[in-house]
Amino acid sequence: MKLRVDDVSYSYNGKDEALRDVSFSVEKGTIYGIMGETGSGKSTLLKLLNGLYTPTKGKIYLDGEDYSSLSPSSLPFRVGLVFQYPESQLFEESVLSDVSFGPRNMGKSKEEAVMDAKEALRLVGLGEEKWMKSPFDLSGGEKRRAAWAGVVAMDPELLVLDEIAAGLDREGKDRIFSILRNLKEKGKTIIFVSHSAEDVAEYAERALVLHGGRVEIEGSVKEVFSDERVVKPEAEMVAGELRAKGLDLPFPMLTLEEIAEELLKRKRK
Amino acid sequence: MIRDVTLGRYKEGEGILYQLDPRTKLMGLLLYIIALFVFKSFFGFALTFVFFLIVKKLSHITLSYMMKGLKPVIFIVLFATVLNIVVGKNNWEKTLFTLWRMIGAVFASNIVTLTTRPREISDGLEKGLSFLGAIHFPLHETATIISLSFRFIPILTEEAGRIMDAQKSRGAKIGEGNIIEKAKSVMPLIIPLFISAFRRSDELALAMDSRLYGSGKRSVWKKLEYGVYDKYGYIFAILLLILTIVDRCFL
Repeated sequence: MKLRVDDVSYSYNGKDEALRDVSFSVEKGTIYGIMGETGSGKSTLLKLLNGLYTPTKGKIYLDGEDYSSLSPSSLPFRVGLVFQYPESQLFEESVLSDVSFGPRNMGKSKEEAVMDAKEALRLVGLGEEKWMKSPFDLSGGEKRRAAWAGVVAMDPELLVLDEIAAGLDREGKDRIFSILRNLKEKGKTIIFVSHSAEDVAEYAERALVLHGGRVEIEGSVKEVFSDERVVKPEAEMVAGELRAKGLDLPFPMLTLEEIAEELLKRKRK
Repeated sequence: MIRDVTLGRYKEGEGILYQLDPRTKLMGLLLYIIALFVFKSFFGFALTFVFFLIVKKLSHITLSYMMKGLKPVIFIVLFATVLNIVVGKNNWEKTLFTLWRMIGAVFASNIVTLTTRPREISDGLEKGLSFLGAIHFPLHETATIISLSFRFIPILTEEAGRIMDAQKSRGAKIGEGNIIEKAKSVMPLIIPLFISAFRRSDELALAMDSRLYGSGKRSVWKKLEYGVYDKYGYIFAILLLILTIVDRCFL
């Protein structure tokens, strides 16, 4: 499913604009990263994408359909939004019934909802032994995945995620992003917000950088990190050091693997 | 609606009311509420109303801001008013008085909390009620508990907004349907909110423990002292109460 954001502005109080003239589009089946510092308008943008807010100017299209023509009650099911620290939304007695909350709200029968929930739980890697547990007895990383499953279970075409890796260790983070890739292979479109240049460099295909409510740069990840205003990922810093030592590496280097491959190529020659 | 709660919030500002000692304001509030329930005739009503207008003027708080504080209790107020008319068979004057008693009490409390920092309120309570220390009433602890509860109000309203957005994104319809559906529909909001409140208070208790709270007698950083206006504050509040008592007994 394709998303197109066309010249969108948003203002909370009618005076100061939290977002100004934001335009970009995301192709079906891609992973798209949104970067920006605190207060750059990232969270506002996410809430616009999910339909919690309506743009004060401009339009958002989902497969060519204008958001404002879609029913506000169906939008959350087509665009799943996973908030920062989503574990705070868990409330049911068991993991399984919490995850099936969304599908039930879509009007599915109990059996169908539970089936969807099971599928989503498997997808995020929560085994059967956890399903009947109270969500509050899970570990931090498991809670987050359970909450995430709650959104995935609604089978949205577009998934929007806010700082998914915040507060997770390396292992938890790898796990979360491998789930993302799984979803992408299933044809889902994914947009994630992160303040970490590494996450965007490693996992996104295209990205945009927000600054003071405006789009500073938008393009493929390579293009974005070529821009001098954008904070570079760790790998590019390493590459910079290597270049200073006389190694001729292409610019920009996005991951340590990429550098390793470049070095190997040279060695073989 | 939940985001509009003004009760217990402090609003930065200036004016005589901000300079008053919290004890004066709390005592004034108490006397004012007593006066509200004491008056009987139209004279007393007018008196409490004018007193409110003067205090409102001194506080520089707009009426629209105070109306927001009325929102959570509007249902109770309307219910009581209807009950008054239907069951109590009161005339319009008595109904008006009942209505004003409730609204006036909410407005007055709102003015006090809006112009007094939570810290000041608890300090004022602690000092103002210090005579209770003689009967070993845990005064300081109570004051701390009160000021902490005030601090939690804005945090929890913000949290509630966040959880509400998250559940809406899962298609939750909070506060819709008939009364049973309504009650059920708030569970996805209430449960996570409780859990986060418990977690926060646990963390706060730990943080206080780690800074050795309660390990000895505490001294006071900002000593409360009466200023120039406090005298007048007391005089006016006491005068109002006396006049309403006169109103009840002799008019």
